[in-house]
Amino acid sequence: MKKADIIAGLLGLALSFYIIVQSGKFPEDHVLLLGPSFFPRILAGLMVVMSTVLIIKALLGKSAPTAEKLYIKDPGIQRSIITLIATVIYLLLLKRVGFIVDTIVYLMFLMYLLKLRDYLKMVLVAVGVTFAVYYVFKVALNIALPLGFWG
Amino acid sequence: MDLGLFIDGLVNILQINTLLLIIAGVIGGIMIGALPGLTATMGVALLVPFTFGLPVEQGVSMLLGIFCGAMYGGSISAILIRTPGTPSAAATLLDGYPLAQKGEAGRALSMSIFASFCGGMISFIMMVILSPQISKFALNFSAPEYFALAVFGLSIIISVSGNSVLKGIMAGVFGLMIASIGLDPVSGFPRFTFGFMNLFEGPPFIPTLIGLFAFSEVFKGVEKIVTQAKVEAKITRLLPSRADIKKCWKTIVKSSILGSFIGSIPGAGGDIAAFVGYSEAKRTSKNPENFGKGEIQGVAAAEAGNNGCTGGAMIPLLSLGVPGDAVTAVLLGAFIMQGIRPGPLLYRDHIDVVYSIFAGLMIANICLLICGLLGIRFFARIISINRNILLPVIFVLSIVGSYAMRNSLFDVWFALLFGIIGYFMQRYDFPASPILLALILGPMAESNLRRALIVSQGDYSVFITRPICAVLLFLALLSLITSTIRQLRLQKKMRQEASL
Repeated sequence: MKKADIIAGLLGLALSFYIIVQSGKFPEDHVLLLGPSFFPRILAGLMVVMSTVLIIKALLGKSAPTAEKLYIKDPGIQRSIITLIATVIYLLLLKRVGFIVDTIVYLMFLMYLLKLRDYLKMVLVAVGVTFAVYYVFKVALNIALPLGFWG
Repeated sequence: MDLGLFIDGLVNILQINTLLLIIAGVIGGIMIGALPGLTATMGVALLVPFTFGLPVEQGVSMLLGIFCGAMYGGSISAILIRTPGTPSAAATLLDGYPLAQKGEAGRALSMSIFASFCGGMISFIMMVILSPQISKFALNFSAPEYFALAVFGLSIIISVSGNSVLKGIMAGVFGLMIASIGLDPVSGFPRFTFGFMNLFEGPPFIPTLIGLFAFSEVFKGVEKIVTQAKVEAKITRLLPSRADIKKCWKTIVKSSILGSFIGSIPGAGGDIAAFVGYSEAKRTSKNPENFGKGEIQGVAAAEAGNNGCTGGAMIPLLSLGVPGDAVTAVLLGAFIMQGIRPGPLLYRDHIDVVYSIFAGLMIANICLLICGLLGIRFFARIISINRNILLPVIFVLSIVGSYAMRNSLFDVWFALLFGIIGYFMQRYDFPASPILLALILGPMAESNLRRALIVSQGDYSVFITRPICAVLLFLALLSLITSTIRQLRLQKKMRQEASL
């Protein structure tokens, strides 16, 4: 867990420095020093302390031995990455293709990815869920979903 | 309590539309709560968008139905397939599953719904009696007390979630940083918005938590393809027997009251209440050796404690505007979106809304009992839905849910970003609940801290000289220190065992 804790600590430090630098550009309250940058700077300070402790603990070999390692070759991890990419593509296409078609395809792809091979079930679920969600939001709740040429 | 106002509230709620929405909420809540891997927090987050378009009273009543249903639902899968649907059902599993193995699944399920109902009702009564008193008391609070309250709530949730206080604090501070995105509450200056107009009002609440609690879970879910355990137990009984009720009623009352009090501590939630109720029942039982082997009292104690939290957690939520735990934090966010700002001023200025919420919670509990008893067989079937159908559907619900609030794709991208952050956080043992509480409590902590210091001319001693404030801050520190010590001991023990 050593590496992960060090990375987390470094990210914490980076975030804190970003906040400190950014908050330097905020308008300042020179009397009581309680302007917009006051609270974020306290947080950044706390984060610096905590991140440093986390890193030192990791370097001393005292971090808790928990999580599994992240292998990019692990089929499960690859599935997560494919899912993420599919979601990004789905969102990019949403306005162009329209909610209904886009969602049906996306659902079927994910089910296939998760090794569902009962194609009839796949189509029924994908179409059923898509229309159910569409009608509940559009008709019952009056929330317009992004529409394309379909719907 | 003012009976006239309560009856007005009931009249408001007892309309066919509202009732149907509550029932829909309860059923939806039970279903999501019952599905293993979908926590109550996630359930409420996924279902909140369905209440956006509704008028206030209907939306809030439906939310209360979802809340009660989700708190109960976890016990179904705990009893039937030995997997708690929500963390707070972990104590129900201890005796519920052995009962199911003995062929008494129906007995365990019907007792769990009965105990949940009693827990909900008793805590409802406590809420109705206590919350107006607390709100009256809180009217005297000013900025330092509110700041201390926010710190207190955060420190409790940090102490109870995750295995490392250090990582918990980091998560909490990270959440507070996220919360400071948007217009500064005091001066109105836009901070950390990266030039996005969409972030001026602050991080979009529901998308952020759908990211943290739904997207992250499904990303984790697709990693392992598991076939869902099939329910083998036959359910023969739908109502608890008179003998069981007679045996358990004392346990239920005690556990419900304990649950209400634990729920009312900001930061402490259903899982703790269930375990405290369970161990108290075991301690005072004549046959403690039966616990863990299928003792019906164990199921009753855990479930009464768990749902006793519902009313208890509403006490600080309504009277102080501070959520009791992660689930109620979502509820609070949803209330605010409906235009209700809980806190002492709500009691002073909009007491009718408060009583509608009271009435809504009572009706939601009654609906829970009815739906739970009638639907046992149906819910038992729901939990065997395969993950490869369930997960894609949750993806779509997460996307639509984060889109729905402002009709904005920006919010969906934001949710996806937090899904990735949440995925890595849980992978490396950073708890997500502190972030959620920080998002709610952040603006409250910041504006009250600054207001307090402006009033005191920059003198920090106001936080120590005001007794209520000092006590809250002291308790916050105490809870962090004691849980650090507990964790260090636990780690030492684990290391010793590992080296043997």
